[in-house]
Amino acid sequence: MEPKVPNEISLIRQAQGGDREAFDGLRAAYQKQIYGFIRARADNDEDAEDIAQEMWVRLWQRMPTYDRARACFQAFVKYWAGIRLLRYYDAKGNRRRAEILFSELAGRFTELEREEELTEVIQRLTAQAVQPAVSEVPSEAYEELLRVTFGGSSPPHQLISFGFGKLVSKWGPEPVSTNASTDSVPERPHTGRAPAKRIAAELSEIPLRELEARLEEAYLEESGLPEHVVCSCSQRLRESMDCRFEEVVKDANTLKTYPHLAGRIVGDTTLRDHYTGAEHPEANIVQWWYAVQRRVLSEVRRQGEGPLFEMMQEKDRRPVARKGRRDRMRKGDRQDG
Amino acid sequence: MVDEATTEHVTPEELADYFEGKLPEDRECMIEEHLAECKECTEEARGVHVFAEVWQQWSARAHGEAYWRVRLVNAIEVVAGKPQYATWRERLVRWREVWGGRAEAALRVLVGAKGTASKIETEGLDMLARAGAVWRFALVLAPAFVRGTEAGAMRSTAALSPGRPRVRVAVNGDVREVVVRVDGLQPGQAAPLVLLIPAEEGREAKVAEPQRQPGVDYLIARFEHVESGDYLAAFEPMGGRV
Repeated sequence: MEPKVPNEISLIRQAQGGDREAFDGLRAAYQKQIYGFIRARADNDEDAEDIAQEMWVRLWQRMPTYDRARACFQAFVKYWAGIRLLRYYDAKGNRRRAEILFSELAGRFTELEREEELTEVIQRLTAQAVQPAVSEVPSEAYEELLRVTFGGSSPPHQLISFGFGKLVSKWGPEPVSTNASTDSVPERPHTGRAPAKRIAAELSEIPLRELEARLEEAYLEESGLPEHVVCSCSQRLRESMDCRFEEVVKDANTLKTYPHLAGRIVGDTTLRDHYTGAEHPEANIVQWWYAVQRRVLSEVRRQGEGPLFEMMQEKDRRPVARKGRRDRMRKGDRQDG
Repeated sequence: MVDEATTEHVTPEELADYFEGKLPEDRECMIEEHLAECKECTEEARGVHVFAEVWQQWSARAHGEAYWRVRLVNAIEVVAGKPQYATWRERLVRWREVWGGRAEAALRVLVGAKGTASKIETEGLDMLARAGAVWRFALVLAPAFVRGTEAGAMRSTAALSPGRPRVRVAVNGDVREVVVRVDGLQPGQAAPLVLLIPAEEGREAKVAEPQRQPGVDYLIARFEHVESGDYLAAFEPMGGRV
């Protein structure tokens, strides 16, 4: 990432030596971006402004600890913005917001879990004996995800590879190592390549019909859910196994990508039949997962109701007019505020 | 900050990628600068942030955990309100209030119809265990005889949690009975309540407390006339009682 100001290194050095003017120069360069970072994660703008203000005060005190060899300055500022966000919501007793933030930020900054400033916050977040059910994702939200995902418009090969890669522990992401480096260089979250590679290596030649049955069975086994909960959600995918590809897939681009599959029975095809890049099928698989997620998000928003939508519209937020938003997704064509 | 964005709005899908850290850093920077001045996208981002987090947590195991914890909490609430379980109301209320959807241990009991096999499953339910719980049930491979049960118990299947206390659960579909035996309780230590929760929603849960048997040093809780079906057997957290 390019520095925001040409003389950034010099400004950092001066600020670390106590030059307030140099620090103000850095602040001016990053203020807008960091406010956006905080604003997106805060419940409201008033909180965001308070957090940002406090963050810059604390960052000035923390400047001597910055090490350019370990992280770029922008990551350093975001790291401390994240800590202020967490402490702010912990102090307010908003455990749900603090948990969501911690989970997201811990994916960005692996060393966050060992941050001394967060020791008590983390202890409170991980305490399980008191009010254990308050901040957890409700069961009905998962059930809605299962229903919307597997009853939605994603093509079967995408759903099946997604199901194995995301939902079933045998194939899913590797657990985060507890021996992670203590270095404070922020790491990017995994891209899902490892499970995608395993799926490509081991499941590519198996007919989708068999994979679908295995996926349902694995979900049932790992979740311990009653059969009717899972089977009713996966019914559409199961039934699609006996249909022709062109009957199941409605998206024109997908049909155009696979003209050779149009007349084939979906359950008789394999994941390999759907790869567009022979050398790196895992890249295809990862893209399919993202596509599934995007469709589910769109569907949840389109429905405008249900447990997930309600979670997205937390009570202390102002309602947002969404009508016509898509039509206004163009530069300059907006009416804000 | 003034909400007067001049740059392009961000789609919800890209916001989801942003929160999952999938975007290049320069794109992240552009999005954050846009969010600083766009109220509409900020509101969208706050919702997407929640969605992305739920999505990230979603797995078969997380779903099962959430489901069974709700079922456990609901079952405790229902049985606590039943007059026949009034003796244990205080303990049940405390279980729910202190531990919510957590138990000392839990296992699945499948009661077969007459002539069909019954079985017990011990895998995957440690997710319901309270913090610090040490019980770990394992299947007993040999046909298990649970002393104190009726004739026919030899045909049951059983699971055992070794150590102290030592707990054994046996199911016999032929006589439609689930029996819990507890050995090795410390003097003065009360046995945990046992909840038997039908997987099928709408059916009533049952609760029992293992009782000391005359002339022996173990305790037995017996669920009789259990309809065939799938059940969760959950034990009251031992650390949750006063």
